[in-house]
Amino acid sequence: MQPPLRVLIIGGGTAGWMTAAALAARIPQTRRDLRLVESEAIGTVGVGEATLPHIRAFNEDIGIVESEMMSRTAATFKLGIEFENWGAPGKRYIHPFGAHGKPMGGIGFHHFWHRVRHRSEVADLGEYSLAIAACRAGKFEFPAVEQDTLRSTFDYAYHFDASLYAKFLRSLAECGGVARTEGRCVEVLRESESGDISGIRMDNDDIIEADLFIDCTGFRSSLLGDTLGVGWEDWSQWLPCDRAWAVASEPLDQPPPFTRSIARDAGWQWQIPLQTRTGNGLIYSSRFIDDESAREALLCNLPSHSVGEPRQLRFTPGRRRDNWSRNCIGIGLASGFLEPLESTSIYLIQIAIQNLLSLFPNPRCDPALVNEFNRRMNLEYDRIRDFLILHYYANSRAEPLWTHCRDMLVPPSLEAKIGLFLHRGAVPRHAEGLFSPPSWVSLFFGQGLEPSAVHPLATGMDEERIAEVLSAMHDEIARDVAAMSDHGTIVRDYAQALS
Amino acid sequence: MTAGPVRRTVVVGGDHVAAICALALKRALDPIGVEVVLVRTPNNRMAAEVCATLPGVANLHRLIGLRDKAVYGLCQAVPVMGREFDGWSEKPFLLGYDAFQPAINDVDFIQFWSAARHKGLDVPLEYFSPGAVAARQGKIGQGEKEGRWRRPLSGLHVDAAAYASLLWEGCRKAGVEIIETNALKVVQGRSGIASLALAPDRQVVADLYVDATGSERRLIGHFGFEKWRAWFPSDIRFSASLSAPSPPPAYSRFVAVEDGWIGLLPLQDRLVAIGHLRARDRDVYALVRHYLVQISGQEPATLEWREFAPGRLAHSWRGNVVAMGDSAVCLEQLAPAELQLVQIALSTLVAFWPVDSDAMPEARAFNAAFEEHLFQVRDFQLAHFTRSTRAGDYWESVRAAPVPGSLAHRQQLFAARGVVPVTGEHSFGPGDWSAVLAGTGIVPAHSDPATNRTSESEQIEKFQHLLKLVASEVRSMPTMSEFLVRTGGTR
Repeated sequence: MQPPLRVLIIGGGTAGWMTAAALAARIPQTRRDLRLVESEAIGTVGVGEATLPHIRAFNEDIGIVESEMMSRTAATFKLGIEFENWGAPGKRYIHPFGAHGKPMGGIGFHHFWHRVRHRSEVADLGEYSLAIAACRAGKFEFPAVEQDTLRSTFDYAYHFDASLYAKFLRSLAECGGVARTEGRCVEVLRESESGDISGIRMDNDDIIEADLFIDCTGFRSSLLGDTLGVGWEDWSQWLPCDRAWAVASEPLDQPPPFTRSIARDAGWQWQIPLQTRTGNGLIYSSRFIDDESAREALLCNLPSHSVGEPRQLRFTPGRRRDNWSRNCIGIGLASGFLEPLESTSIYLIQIAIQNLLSLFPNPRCDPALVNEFNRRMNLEYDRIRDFLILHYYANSRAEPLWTHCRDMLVPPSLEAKIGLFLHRGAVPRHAEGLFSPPSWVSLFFGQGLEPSAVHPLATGMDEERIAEVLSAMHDEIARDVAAMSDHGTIVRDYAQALS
Repeated sequence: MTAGPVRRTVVVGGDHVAAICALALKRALDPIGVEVVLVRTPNNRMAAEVCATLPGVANLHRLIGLRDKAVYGLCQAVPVMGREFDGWSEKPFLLGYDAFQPAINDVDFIQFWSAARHKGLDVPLEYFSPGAVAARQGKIGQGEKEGRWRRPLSGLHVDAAAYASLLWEGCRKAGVEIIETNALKVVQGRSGIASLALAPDRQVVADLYVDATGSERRLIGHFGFEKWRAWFPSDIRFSASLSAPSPPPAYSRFVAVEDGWIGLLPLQDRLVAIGHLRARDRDVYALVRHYLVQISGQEPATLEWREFAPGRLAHSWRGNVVAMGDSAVCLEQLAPAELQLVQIALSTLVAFWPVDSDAMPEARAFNAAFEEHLFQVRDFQLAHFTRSTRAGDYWESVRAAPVPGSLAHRQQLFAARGVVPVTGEHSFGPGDWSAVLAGTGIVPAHSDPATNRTSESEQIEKFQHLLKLVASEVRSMPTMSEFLVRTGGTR
């Protein structure tokens, strides 16, 4: 049998412990020797308290019991993200974890809705999504397993305390045989001939050697960026925000089952409801507002009393040109940064881990594995980038940040998507990468884009008939939502936070 | 401002591809009142030609309303469970039409197989493929699902001329207007084809034109045709009739020879030999005859050949013309994917059916989507060539051509770790790719360490269980003769 691969994870935030726990769970002990170094003196960013439904498969794969995880991380359920004032002031829409209506004859529901939307009895597109209706009513229920009902047309994720999640994963990882070393890495050592990383020197002069290094050092990117010099692809031309203030506030009496994202004059504000507190932040562009005004704007708009002082973060949106170079893989913020507008930070960590598992080197980092990993990760980043840019680009707001965004040139890949939607209501459909057609549907319409035509095959059904189908669907959704539980109640009953 | 919806489409061509296009478009677009006209030009296919398809053709037949009884009863159809490749690499191998093995403890079967190969297991991958085993034993699977085990489906061979007749009949019944002519002149307009002038004084006008005239490309022309001769050096393709073995074998056989390759494809009433050869200036009849006698021991009853120019149009939808079949992409028939690509092009065309007869920006999305498929089909065929160990000018020139990056990446990734990238759209799944790459002699150097979560004794037990499952699965399938009797075959 192969000797075990020595894997060293540097950095113990969400990315570090997610990686450690997953490798410990999926790769047998005889094949790996896992160590994580972290320093309690170095803070973690604790990215992404809001997640995407994919996290459930990740948790299941490493043997996590949902209710236990939720109570340990003060989690609530999440059915989508509400965008307020984005496309235009006063407008709001929800990007649901689920579909709007059901396709008819293979043609997307939104084409039929668009044909009859002018009729008085036809409601907003969001009214035909069970997930959205549940969000609006503050309700939650687990999706049905039976595929033929509307109750199976949505999915869910969590809002949780990322630092508690990392702590929970640490306990699992350590039980699974991951060794933890406390201390700071002060030097990265390289092999003179190959240039690969051979080990790291700790602040107590100990040297830790390994075969594979996972850089989870966050924005610093000590290994991938600093040591190996892997360049950064800067996306600030499309994503103008570069700073954030974050602060916690008191928990809400009725935590909504969705994340809130509110566009502001020079950025946007998030609200993430946990059982024990509310996560808040304002992301802004330093070109359009100064730090102090931004801090003020956040503190004046909190949903509850603040707890503690706001912390500032600075960042450059983009990604490393390669996430895997030589024998080093960047996971988490060391690999790239995209603002948490669509809760993609933890998703990107998870996908990197899944790709690492399916391409686990053995023992040499074969260039084919490295190339495939980078191909997959770059595709993920690029797809999310386009999706985020559209939030900024398609707006009718008057402030300087927003007019700047409206006038910018978007990447050609996004331009093509917008063009096809405006021409015929077509939404992108990709075999790989995040965001399926329902997500694009909610974003395009939510941001106020209107197609000038629909799919020709959607013109075969007469308007009366479409309106009848929609009406029946609307009623069914109302009945289903009425039967759901109150979100706050189900969270308490199912997974009350540990005090 | 739009000029209005597409009300009328004209398909031009003389073979089964043209008929499928007309019929499929008619059925898909009839609910919105699109009129479909088929301008039927003479069928330039070779007389003895066979149309070979992947299992997915069953879906196409459902869509266009073609019943099995008619296909088996009228088109000499034979179901096949796979393809054997002989003389390409060190050992012959059979690619079954399933290439699916259940995962063991959530880890792909191929990972266990490659680990076992390094420990001395000498069982080829095809032994674990119900399609391949059924093919060898002359049994036919019909694709029912049973638990986690997906039974293999059969591909199909049909007599191309009879198939075309059946489809024309289908077109007529479905209300496609058919105009028979050979005199055809394209009248160009401002931004595409304005009309087709048919002799003596008849004109056909449409909003969208479908060119299914094969490599003649009578509507779309040859502009932007990328030649693939370096990868596929054959300059002729032929079709010949040999006498039929009884019962027909349940697979086709592709034999590599010094100047290319020969395929033996069973129909009910004959064995059809097809092939692609580099003949250069030699006597084609003598060359083909030489190889046929060598491989089958038979003199051909009939033999026809055509010049062959492999490649594709950079944009198969240009202006208001969409190319289908050989008009869009001309590939060797090593993987029976011609109809698969037609089917994909048709479903993509319907998905992007233009909303405006005057401006069709949908073309760009169509071309991008179709390109992903056709490159993958090309790579799938090319995988056989680039790994061949045969000597001789032909094979050396194939190996000298730089392998497309997409294929090189697949081969290297599989060689490193037994992984097949799932990129974009695909006509061949990871199982098909694993089977073809392993068949061409690649044994992954390393396997997923997660295989070690399963003990060696459990692994052996799972392998034995799988072999037994394959055997019992195949035992329960009907023989070729039973199948043909049941489906109304003529023999």
